[in-house]
Amino acid sequence: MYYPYFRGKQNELITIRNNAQLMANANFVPIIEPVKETLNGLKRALDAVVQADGKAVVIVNPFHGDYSDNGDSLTRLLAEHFEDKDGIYAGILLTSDVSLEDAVSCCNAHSNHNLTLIHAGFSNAKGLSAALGNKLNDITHCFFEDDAGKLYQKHFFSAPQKILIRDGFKKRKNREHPDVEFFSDLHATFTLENMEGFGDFLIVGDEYSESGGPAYAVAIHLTFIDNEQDDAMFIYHFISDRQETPQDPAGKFLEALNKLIIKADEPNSKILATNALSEFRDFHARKHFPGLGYAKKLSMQHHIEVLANYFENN
Amino acid sequence: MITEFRVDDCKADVVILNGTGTVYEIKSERDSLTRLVKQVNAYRKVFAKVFVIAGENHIDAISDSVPHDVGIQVLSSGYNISEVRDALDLPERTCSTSIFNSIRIKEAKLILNTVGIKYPDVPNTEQYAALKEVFSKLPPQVAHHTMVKILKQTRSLLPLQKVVEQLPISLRAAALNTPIRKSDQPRLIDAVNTPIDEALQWM
Repeated sequence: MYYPYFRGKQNELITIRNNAQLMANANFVPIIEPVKETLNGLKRALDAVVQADGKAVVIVNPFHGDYSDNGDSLTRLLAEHFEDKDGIYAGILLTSDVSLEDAVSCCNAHSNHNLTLIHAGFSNAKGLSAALGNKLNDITHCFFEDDAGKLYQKHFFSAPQKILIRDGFKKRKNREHPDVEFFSDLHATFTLENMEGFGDFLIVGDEYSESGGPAYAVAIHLTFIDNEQDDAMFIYHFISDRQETPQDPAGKFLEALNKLIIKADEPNSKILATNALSEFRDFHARKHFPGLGYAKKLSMQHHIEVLANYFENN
Repeated sequence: MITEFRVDDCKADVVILNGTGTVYEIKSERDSLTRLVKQVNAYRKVFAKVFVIAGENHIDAISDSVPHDVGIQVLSSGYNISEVRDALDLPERTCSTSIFNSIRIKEAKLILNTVGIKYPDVPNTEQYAALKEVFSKLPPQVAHHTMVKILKQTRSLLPLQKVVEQLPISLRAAALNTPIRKSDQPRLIDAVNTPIDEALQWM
């Protein structure tokens, strides 16, 4: 159903680990593109998914980060620890750099696992479809909407498991975000697109960056579903007042958090009272700054909780 | 030594901590001088001695534009540095608030501890403001003197000694001012020690 796409940095992996049970219960399937060389963190996240009886897709040929040259250690990790675990799928990322031969040989190399193909700019849909033949229908196909449009998807039409991934997050400098904006309606419309499921890049976005550098403005992103607007999802950006220097991220976090709490406390607030929101409230009460990474984790968790709640009630 | 030390929205090229705090702004023959006055004035509030090292073509313009307490050295075409005028050592010219703004919270605490000044115990989101208030009241000489002492510890390059020693001379300067992840340090050494025939196979 929901396939959140994580570029597996430390915070993302911990988010998966901490929310493994929630995602398993909701039938959510995280897709993990490992980007940092922390096989331990990845293994712990996958162990938690297996423990929770959940599912996850691990991309064995990442495009970004430490593994972009060579994903052999990922292939080994899957072979050694997760080969007999039905919930862990090998994902193959098909970018424009991947040739048809590479794509086919990668599929064959991982035929022991349940396979997921991530169609992300690959150019030869027709050739791949022909090469896969009947096997095509046993594979889960995820399409990055921006890179694999309807004509591309047509070549995989017969496959029963198709997922559409759309990036709802607009990447900008923190200070340039509006207070609130449209995020996505795919959770409410993916069946109209003839899809079995949908995905996004949570509140992080598709654009990959190695490291942030000092943040001049601190932002907390919170998504909400608006039942007065056909259940479309929107996102609040709570931005610190001070944005001119890189100093005092802790104080700026509190400025942003104050705005969040005011919004959440409004009568008829549309912000769902999730566990993540409770943690934000706790930090606010204690005026405590847990670090920007932790705040990002909470925002991702909130997003997952909001969607889990939506599908529980719809 | 600290490289790329941030002061306001400027980055000082080199800072040397040796009894006093000395900062060097380097302007090669091809660099523009448009930011120089702003940079120098920012550094004067944080370091007791300020030097500009510049190509010969810049020296007259610099002598006219920077204050008299700023030292000037000339970088000659023969790669020699010679002094045009010495910098005055003026810790009393610095400003405690500017010093606070340029260092890390942890360093500000160490400085206050060293001079024996107490600061309030507040939640961490309010710590910066609370520390800033206390720190700003320090006499600038005291703030500067203790900053030099503390930065020598917190920004020490000694942990890099082993890596630097194992690198060829041509890479040593780069190793001192390019942050390398700890896990990448042995890789760098291995790569440098790989015979060229073998390294060519990587391509």
